[in-house]
Amino acid sequence: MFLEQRKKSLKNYLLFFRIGLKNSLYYKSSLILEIFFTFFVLLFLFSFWETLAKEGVSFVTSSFIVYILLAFAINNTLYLEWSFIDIIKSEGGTAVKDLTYLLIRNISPFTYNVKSRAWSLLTFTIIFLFILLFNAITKLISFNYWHILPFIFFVLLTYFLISYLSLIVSYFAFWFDEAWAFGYAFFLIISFTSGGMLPLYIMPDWLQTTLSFLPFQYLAYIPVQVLLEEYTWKQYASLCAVGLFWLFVLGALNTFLYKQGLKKFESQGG
Amino acid sequence: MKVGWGKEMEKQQSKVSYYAKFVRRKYIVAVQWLFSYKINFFLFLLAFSLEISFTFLFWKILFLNENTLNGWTFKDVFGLMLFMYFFWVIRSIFESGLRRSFRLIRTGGFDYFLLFPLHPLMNALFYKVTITSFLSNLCVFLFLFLSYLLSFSVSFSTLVIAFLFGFFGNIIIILFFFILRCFSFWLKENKFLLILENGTHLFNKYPLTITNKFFQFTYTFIFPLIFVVTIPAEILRGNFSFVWILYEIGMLIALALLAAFVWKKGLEHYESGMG
Repeated sequence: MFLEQRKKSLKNYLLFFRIGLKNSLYYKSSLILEIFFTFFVLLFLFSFWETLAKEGVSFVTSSFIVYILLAFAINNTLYLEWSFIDIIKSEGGTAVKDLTYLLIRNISPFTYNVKSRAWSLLTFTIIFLFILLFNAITKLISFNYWHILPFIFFVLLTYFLISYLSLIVSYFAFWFDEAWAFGYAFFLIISFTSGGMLPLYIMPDWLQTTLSFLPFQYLAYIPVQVLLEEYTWKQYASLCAVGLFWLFVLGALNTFLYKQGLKKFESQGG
Repeated sequence: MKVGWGKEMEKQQSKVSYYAKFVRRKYIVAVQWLFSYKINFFLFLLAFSLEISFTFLFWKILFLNENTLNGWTFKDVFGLMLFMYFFWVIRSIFESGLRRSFRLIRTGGFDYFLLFPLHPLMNALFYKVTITSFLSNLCVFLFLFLSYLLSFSVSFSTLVIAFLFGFFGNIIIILFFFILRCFSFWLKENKFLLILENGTHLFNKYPLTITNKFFQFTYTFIFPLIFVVTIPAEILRGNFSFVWILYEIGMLIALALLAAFVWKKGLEHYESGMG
């Protein structure tokens, strides 16, 4: 019975994922423009750090530059977003569904999030392939292509962690009018603490130690380091275990906050 | 009895005062809303304070390793952050209204505002006025400005010239984004605008003169971002060129005319969401 239910849930997620992907491909011009602008930003970042590297800035190595590009790609495609706030607040015009619509159809926020963010994995894949090609042309660094396998695992982990974080942030809308500010504050915290702006190894020791106790390093730093650095099997296992632990914690927090939020929503006659 | 141009002048004056009353009413409501929802203001203030803190932490970590980066010192980067927040203050005046209005345009809900005697552009600019983000940005900017004045010495004339450049640079980039938003009349999805805005946010944190010639050209003539933050910061560093004045005036006129043209064409093309 339990297995049957899990099978049904998985089927639902995959169905919504396919629908989300199809929707994103429907507006091809927007998708193409988005990918183009991300390439542009990547080239800008490369240009900025390459200028500093030529000047002889000590910490700006080829590996550093590739890290910056990959971390940006992850942070800006699989980014924290809080569109679920609009669902809770029923803002956005007649075309946007509201929470009542989702409740009636028994669509969970996670399923909705999977659908609305399916395009992000597609754009990340395209941008990642571009970075690989760019690295092959410019010969910035040589890395072990076998690392792509664990990299894919950690990127998927990042995708689900960010999905849960996005929802947790959106749930502030149950209690606050301008929950956008929470979302933005979280986005800023995560941009920095995930290693999206700078690799964590360049930061002061006390900050590195503090951040090692938080799940945010799994949102950019760990996936990129898994790709660029050599790890032993023990280290991989340890990183997986901690990552899955955070996934479980955030999943539980997501369920708890949603239930609490629904109580408030329903008590107001939503 | 007023005839000819006298009557026309009176008509224009009453139009202007009508628009002024409209904008004043919107801001009165926004201020009332601000006082009703004080917590939101503090949340915004927290968010923007966090942002500037992380940006400064980013640069501080870099300058822990090196004294200068391509000739830029921490003082120069501080000036850059100052103008970044100046940009956010100016931008937040119109941002909320424009974003919501163009969302209505994409979903076909803008018809309602076409029925009003007010010019549709006024509704687009001031549809939803929220001064929460404006005030919180202003608080952070004033804090930065005072910190800059107390920490570093700078001449009054240099400061005035830099802020004038920054102000008109902001108008240029607001017009640029307005033109891009007008694509909502034709495109139902504009996620590319979100990535461009995020990109703007990112580009403004870096001195654009520390890039290659291609990007300097792009940010000067195609995506006119260089005058928003980098050039005012360069003026504070002691660099100045009269060509910049000519460029800003030219860009302002060109973009204003283009914005008026694209808006007019877009409105003609607009189809009702209920049609």
